[in-house]
Amino acid sequence: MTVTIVLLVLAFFLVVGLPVALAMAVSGATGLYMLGGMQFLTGILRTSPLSTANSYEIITIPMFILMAEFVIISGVANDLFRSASIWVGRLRGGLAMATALAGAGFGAISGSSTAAAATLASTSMPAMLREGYDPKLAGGVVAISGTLAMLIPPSIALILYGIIADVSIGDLLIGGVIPGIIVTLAIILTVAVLVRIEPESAPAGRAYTMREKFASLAHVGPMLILLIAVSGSIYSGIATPTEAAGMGAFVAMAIAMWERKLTLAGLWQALRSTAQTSCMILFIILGAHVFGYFLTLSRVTNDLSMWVGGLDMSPTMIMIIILIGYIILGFFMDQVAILILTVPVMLPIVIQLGYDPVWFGVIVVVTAEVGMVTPPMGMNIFVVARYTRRPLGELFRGVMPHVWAHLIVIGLMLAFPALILWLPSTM
Amino acid sequence: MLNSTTARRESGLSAGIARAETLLVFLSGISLAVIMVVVVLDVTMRYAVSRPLGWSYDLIGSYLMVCVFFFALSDTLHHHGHIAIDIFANSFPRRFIHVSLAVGYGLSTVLLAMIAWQAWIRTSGAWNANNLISATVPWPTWPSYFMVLVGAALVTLRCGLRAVTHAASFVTGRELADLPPPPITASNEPEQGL
Repeated sequence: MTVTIVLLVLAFFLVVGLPVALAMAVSGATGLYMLGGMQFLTGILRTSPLSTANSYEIITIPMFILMAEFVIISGVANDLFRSASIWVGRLRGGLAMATALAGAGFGAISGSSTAAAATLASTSMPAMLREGYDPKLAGGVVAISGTLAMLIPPSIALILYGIIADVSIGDLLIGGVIPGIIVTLAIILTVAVLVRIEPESAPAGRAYTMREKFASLAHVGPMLILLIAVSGSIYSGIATPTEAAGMGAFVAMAIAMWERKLTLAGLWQALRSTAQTSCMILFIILGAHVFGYFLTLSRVTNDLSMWVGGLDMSPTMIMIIILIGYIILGFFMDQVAILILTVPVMLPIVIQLGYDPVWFGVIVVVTAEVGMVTPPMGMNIFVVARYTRRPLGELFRGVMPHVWAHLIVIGLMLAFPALILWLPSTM
Repeated sequence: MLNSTTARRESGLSAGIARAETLLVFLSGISLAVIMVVVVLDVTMRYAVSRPLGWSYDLIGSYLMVCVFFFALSDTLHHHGHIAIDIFANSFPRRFIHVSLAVGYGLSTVLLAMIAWQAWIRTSGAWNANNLISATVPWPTWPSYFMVLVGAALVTLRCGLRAVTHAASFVTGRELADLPPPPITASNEPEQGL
């Protein structure tokens, strides 16, 4: 009864638009009061707030966000597409493929899917339309390529999952590398298939000499080296994710200064924006802590685990149902909110089914990417539509082939967990 | 990037709270910059001269990260930076939304005030007992609790103000509350040539 009341309170406040952190904290506190009384509640409120921020490891989140802010200030993000298009632009549909590569490159800069979609929409979309690309094909590839930011290190979603699930952030970030490459290849392959079916939808571009190709790397080169160094240092164990994040932010700032793009106002804007975004994430974690204590006290997670354990279904079938649930949640909810709300409940079940928590974190993020481009809450589609002034219907239709390709990739990861787990196992 | 503008012009109590928020978020930003510098120094010292900074973990974990979070809390709420699921809210009558948010922010105010009160108890307790961190450098613990107290107290005021303005909007039927900008959705996105 208490659990039902608390879940209804949570759902009500989420639906009317109360910030997710406050909705979770208020409903969780209500439940704690009902189950344990005022003394229990005040005990939680005495320790939880400080323990949310009182950690060295958590600086990974603000430092990677700060790194992205400095990289964006340096203007390199805009050069990524230009460079990628010079390398693969000769192929039919080459600019669309370059968009996927630029999306992967931007993903290595920023953990934000919508920021990646916005950047790609303002750079690659006009270039593709100018070259005579079908707007449906161009818009679809821009929207889906933005989602790579959630997967390719440094992924804020994976770091957040690591903190909630108490799983090694290094393993998660490295675990996202191969799936990130596979999703990038899936986007490129989908474009290749689409232009083969409809050759008029994408013209072939001009060829470039090797000299021109290497010259195009002049601007993006230092930043690409930095990004590879960040992931490489985590993989090799030279640096922890926190150290890599701090060093990455500092070097990105130095590059922005070297490029003479960093003003005092820009620096302050980057710091304030990073403080606000980090605070937003930490506040949700605080709300989740309070709600998590309620879930533990109510034993709802244990009951759910026992119920799932008693089901006459194979673990694979249960996992497919769970992933379909995540796709449906992605239609309506923000990915951060999905992770915070569901991981504390789902993880014990997933572990009980025999799945690895690192594998689950990566596959949930890949699954959540689908929700970013599907109606009615496909945030990336809305962002691309706003930047490009293209109709939503056209963009949703354009992204559908990529959604199918994405589902095949999820199926592959479900069938072959080593695609995610092999690289972290070699660390 | 978060929206950093509010539609309504600040006045009275809200403007006063906003000034305090600006000061605190400035300190939060400075703390971020210091964290970055300390991490770089620590890593450099560790690998260059094998002498890492023994105090970096405690400085960052006990003070700087606490400052980043709690001193940006109210400013982020003020600028609608805390994510909310706003896709459904516009499909309900405005007065229903206002009364619901008045209740939600009201309950949140009580909760945040309890957090501030608990932080005050811990601050005064740690101050009086001169409690120290059990680490290499025995720094005092009260500044951490004090930052929780200041951040929680300010966000309690901001939250309380939200509750009052939503209640006033419900009672009068006028748009007195500071609502977030409309979400980017299919319904407000210009459609061309569908």
